[in-house]
Amino acid sequence: MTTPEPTAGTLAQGMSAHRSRSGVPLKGFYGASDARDVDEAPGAFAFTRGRRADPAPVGGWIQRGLSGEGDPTRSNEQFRYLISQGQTGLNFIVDAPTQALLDPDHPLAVNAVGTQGVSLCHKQDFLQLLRDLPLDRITVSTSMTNGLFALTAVYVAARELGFAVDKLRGSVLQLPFYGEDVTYAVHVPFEGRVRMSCDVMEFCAKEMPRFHSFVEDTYFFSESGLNAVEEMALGFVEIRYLVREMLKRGVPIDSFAPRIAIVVNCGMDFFEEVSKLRATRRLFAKMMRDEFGAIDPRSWSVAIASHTSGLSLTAQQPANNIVRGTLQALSLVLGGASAIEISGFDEAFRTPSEDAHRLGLRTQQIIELETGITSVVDPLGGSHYVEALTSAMEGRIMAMIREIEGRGPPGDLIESGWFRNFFEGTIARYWSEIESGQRKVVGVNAHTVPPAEDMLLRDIAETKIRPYRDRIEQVREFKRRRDIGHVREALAHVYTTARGSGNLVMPVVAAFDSEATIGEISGTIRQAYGAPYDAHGMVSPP
Amino acid sequence: MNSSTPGAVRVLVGMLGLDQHEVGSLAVAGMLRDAGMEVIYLGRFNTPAAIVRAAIDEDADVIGISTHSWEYIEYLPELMNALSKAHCDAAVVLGGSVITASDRDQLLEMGVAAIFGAGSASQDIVAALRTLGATRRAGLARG
Amino acid sequence: MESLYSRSMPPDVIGITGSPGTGKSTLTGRLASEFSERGLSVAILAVDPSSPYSGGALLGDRLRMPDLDRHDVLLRSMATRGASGGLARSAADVIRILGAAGRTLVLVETVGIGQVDVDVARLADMTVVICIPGQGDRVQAIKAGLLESASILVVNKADRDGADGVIADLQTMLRVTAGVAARPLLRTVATLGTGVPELADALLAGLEARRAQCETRKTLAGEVRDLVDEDLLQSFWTTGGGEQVLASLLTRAELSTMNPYGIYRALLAARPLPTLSQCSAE
Repeated sequence: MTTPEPTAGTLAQGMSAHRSRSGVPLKGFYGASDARDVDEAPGAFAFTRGRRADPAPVGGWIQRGLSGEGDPTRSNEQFRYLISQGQTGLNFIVDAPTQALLDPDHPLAVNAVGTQGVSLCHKQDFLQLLRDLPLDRITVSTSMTNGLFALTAVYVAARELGFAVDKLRGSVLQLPFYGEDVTYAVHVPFEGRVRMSCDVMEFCAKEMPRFHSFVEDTYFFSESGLNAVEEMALGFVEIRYLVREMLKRGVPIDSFAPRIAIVVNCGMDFFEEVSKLRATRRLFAKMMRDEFGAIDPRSWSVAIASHTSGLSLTAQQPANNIVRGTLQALSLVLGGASAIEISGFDEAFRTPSEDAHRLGLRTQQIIELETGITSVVDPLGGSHYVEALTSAMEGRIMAMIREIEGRGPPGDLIESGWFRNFFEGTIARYWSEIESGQRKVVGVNAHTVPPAEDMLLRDIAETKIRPYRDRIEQVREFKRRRDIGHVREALAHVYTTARGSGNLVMPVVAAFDSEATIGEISGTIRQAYGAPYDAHGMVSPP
Repeated sequence: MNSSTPGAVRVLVGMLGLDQHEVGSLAVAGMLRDAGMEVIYLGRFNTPAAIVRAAIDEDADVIGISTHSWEYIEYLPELMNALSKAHCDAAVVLGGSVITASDRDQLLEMGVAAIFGAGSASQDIVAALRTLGATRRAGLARG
Repeated sequence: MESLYSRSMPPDVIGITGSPGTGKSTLTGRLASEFSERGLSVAILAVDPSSPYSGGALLGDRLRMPDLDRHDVLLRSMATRGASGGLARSAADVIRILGAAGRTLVLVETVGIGQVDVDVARLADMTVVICIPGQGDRVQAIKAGLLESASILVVNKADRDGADGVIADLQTMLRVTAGVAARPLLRTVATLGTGVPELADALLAGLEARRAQCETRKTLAGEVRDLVDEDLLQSFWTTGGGEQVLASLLTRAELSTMNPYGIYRALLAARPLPTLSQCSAE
């Protein structure tokens, strides 16, 4: 497959001795003349050197692992264990049916219930998932592709469990652009996806001011083999679009911009990843202040969390992945990440095990407590090379943003499959680089061992999570026992709101209170946008 | 005369259930196309019944299932049964890094023709599919 | 192959064509479901181009037709295999096979890029040409010759801005192009199914009218022409030894004096065109 046509000008030539992975030409060494004058202090505009002026206190970044599996009860036990082990935030992932906004009793869900995350469907699930947790002290982040359902689930649970909703800290993802193509498709038309995102952001600006209502997640789509420049450019295209939509609604920029965060990928090109974080903060700050007119300094400094790359991990010699995770986490700490998750070393061949979770957490704790790296803010600041690379990344990301935005409305690019083609091209490029040996991966195309010798940590792969089929019958039972009249009434209200211009958050909360399910509410929203209730034509409205 | 008697191997490429990590599947489809095969791309969200039907309608030589989740463990027996019930002789191959060594043996026993795990070279995949395609065509020609 | 013709009635054939991105597959799928719900036994033949480099093809039409199962619609994907002339012939064979398999209506979907569509249009009893709003030059997207071969014009994605403009442009084109003034012009939104029943009505009415006029003879004539073209060429080049003569002419001709017209005349002189009796009509 050929390199995607759209970005021929900015695409990488791959990693050579003389270029960074995203194509920045590199010199043999850097001197004072290569870097611009750095008179910027950490904690000040343009936040290249970090959001804060003081060194990170103990636990200065949120250390967490992605968790959640099986049913809410099983996941709640897992969460309580992780908190007891010193984890300072939760980031829960939901299973494939929940990501796709399908109930566990949907025919396509039968083999996927609870295997790759926790299965969620209705209000009782949300309560069960988050019970007995100090929601006033920890952050609750969600790795659910649809922000509206993630937010309402957390909202309903926190309210019922007696926590002040306006004090809640945590985050939801908003992926209206790329989610349909490269992760879990929810089959709501583009306009509807954008609207759901904006409704959440507008609601939180008023009601949940401490909650990050818009996490731009560049991790998901960059796992399609994107380089760091492409990753951030596509991310910014989405951020800029949603910000403009919010401004069109008349929501003041400073009421929501402080609660935008970015979750980035982190690959193996060490200094490029450090520079990516620094360049991203600088770009965001300039964009918010100079282009969107934000006045509040909190609107300028964006928090960047990261999940280390699963694509960079190998099924061969899985122990090597522990080293990869360590190096990636180190580059993130040096780049000033606000929260870090290390991909499970077993991720290349299974949904991460508990052992892998713990190891990811321990890696971060070793960096924090034993190495002394965190004593000084931005220890690489002023490095000729890092400053030069940061500026080069900034320029390249901005150029690519302009190039994409110059192609017309992003909605048209999405609907016409332009981005999908782009992702197909980048993954093909990634694999051909590995196959040709242009990109070296130890254990894959360099320093390989025969399978018979590749046994270290291999046994973990064989322990698999089977589908939680009991959930299916439990959900059917739940649906039989509720008052269907109530459900229909609440769904009708969701439908009317979705057809009009009101905010969807409270109608969706009310629908959960009336015991409607995620599948039913999302189906109703699909219908309101002229799409089928079920994209797979297998289930009908209640 | 049949439209697919001469020429290219016809391969279905698709995924089962809610397995949604499609990039691998797309990349393989492109690779097989570039190797001169006719790829009938089924994408995501397929049931075993839909795959069998497509294999028959399309006179496919090979059915390629791309997998990134463990759903395949549950779906494969159903798929193999449905194929034999429908007298469909397309060869089934499975690709994905999540397939572990012990699964591999079980799958081969079930009648899966080939399994491509992590690190499979594209030339090996292409060669195996060409052989499977040629074997099926030879069988058809003999009647 | 011939035996198929004696055993079955040919199915009605509807060609559907339009540029990439016009929603062809979605509209074809919707139409197939609509016809199926009206009790017809429907098949779709989806033709996509082969890669000119590898000869392979990526045939993705099933992706946009999720309803095939529920409506018992048979879909067969087909690659052009680089043969624009021969395509019509193998498509005709597949249509016959689908007919022999009991399908009474075949929708042939082609990507709107020129010769292939015109070839397929010749096989079809009715041809639908799809345009959409917002394609830059409005209706420039309709290639020359395609408008003439359209029995029905459809503006898909008609809920978008600019639909009225496209309709107006098409009406103008229809008025100024000889012999097409009476072509129906319909609006659809394939993703929602809007306008699909009306399109189905128009197509069935067209098929009915055509049947009354016995126009299938024209289709038959076209098929026979294809057979003659293919077989005559085949016998000229292979059984008639044309390839060998050409090869020897090429070795004899001085490189500097090589001229395709001269060689062509020499070739014809050495190998007169075969008579029909020499052809291998199977």
